[in-house]
Amino acid sequence: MEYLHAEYQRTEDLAAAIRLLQADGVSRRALELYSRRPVEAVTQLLPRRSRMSLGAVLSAIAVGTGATVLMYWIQLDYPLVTGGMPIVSGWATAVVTFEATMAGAVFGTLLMLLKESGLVLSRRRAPVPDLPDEGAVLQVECETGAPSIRALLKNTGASRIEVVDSAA
Amino acid sequence: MPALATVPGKSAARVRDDILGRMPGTNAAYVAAVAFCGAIVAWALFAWGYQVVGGFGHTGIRRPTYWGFYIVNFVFWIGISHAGTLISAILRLTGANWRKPVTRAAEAITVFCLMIGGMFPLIHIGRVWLFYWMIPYPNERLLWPNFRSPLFWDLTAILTYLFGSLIYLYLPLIPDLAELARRSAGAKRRLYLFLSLGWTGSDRQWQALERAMKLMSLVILAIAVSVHSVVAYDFSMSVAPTWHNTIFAPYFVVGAIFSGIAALVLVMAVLRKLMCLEDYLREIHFVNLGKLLVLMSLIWLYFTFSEHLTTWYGNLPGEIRVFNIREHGLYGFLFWTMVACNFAIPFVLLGISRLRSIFTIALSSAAVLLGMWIERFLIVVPSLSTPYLPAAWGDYAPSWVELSITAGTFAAMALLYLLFVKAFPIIAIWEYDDGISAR
Repeated sequence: MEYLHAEYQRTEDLAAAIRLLQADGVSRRALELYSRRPVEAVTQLLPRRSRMSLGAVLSAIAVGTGATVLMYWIQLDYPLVTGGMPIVSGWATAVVTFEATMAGAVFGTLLMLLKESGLVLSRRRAPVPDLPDEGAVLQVECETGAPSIRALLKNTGASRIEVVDSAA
Repeated sequence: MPALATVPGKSAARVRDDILGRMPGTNAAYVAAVAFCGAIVAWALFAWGYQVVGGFGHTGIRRPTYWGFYIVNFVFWIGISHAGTLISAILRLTGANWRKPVTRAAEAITVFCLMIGGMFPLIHIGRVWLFYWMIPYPNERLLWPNFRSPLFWDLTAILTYLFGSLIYLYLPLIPDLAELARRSAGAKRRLYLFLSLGWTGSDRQWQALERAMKLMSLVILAIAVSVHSVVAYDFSMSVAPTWHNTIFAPYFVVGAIFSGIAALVLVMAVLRKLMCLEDYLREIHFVNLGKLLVLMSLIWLYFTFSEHLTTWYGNLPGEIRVFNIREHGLYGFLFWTMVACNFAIPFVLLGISRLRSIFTIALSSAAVLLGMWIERFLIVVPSLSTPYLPAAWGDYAPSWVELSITAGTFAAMALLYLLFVKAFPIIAIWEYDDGISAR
């Protein structure tokens, strides 16, 4: 296996290259785009599956429920009479439940970001290209040699193509 | 045919070089500014230490005015912290492009204001070393915090907001930290590399980041509204004249957003001048924020009018007394100054297009900040110093300790900002798109 790094300066060329590579049978997983700014047009061509919203919601529910259960247990464990209120009251604990739920959502979002972006817990060990000042680098994971892919990248306007061995 | 990764008018590389090049160096002016702010902060810390050692008698806080400058400052700073939320989260969700150069400045304000505002409950409790009693943990006396107390709600709300805001500031910083790591050497490079968590700029990372920022915007908005509502509940759950009403939560939220925008404008005006950011923080950013300021001024006026009209019409003896001293009694001058600062000045300066300029927008913002501080004072002090029982009436005047600590908070804000702009770009480089020349 080897990695081809093709540098592009124009969004249209890059989009065309991605479309042609996918038509050629290259999977989305084998493609990775590196740039110093997000390239929005390419985001639609290389959408990544995400469970971030689900993670945030589940985390929110877990932390919110945990905090509420803790409060109820504490209030039963040490009944504190305050201003004639019932010992356990949903009204009086709603604010803390809400804040804990929101804290859970923040925590869940952070964890999912770290996981999905590969910043932490990443199993992908592809070589990272040097980012150009302008433009972007398209990384293609392919069989060693792969002359057709190289030709395709060249024909779609790649300004520079580099071959990086997977061992690198 | 658009070129890849460029912004209108300037190439992406030029924007990066430009923004990073404006980060202040360690020159004499910078050191003097840090030293000046640091000295005021040190004096405030000394005053706090003096209060901790000598007791609360060193403050002007005494029966019946148990909440003085500390709670005024607390509400004021927590209010300003809404700048980041409003500008960044709302505008991010609505896709307003012009927000991009101002978001980081706003998000930093949120974090610093929360750090400063969050200190006041600690200062106010007096015996600060017992703060940990607020944390729900099973201690040997089997005493738990009172979850039904709005003061405990405050603790949870502010900690959640601080945690959320820190993440909200940090996430969009990650790509810029990677950029800084590329351009640094030695220990600085190692620090930036560590903080950037190994950011490579892959499309997976960009997509995850943008998704996370959208989610965070939604969550942080909900938290922000809840935080200032909870601050308002501190008052409205008390049976003190003019406090126990239902309008306080939205009234506080409106006031918070209002003062937050004003703080952001003022910070932007100072940064623009000191860091020569005229190319990035343009007049149109100030004009747009100025329009928001006028809108919030009108909403604030509406809430203030509704609150005061209801009190006046109800004519309850305890409440009307507070109403009278607030409007034409001891605090009458402050009340009308507040109305002038929060409504008359911004309405005239920003409402008349010929008068609208960066200077007048910044001036209006300074007036609004002063007005909002006075508003917090007028909510806290007159109601407490004139309780329902006439025999319990009393006066309040802040001591040098409270004045020093108040001055220290403003210096702390400036100091934190000075340190922040030295270490991090104040404009999000990767997000930068002036959003104006593109139209």
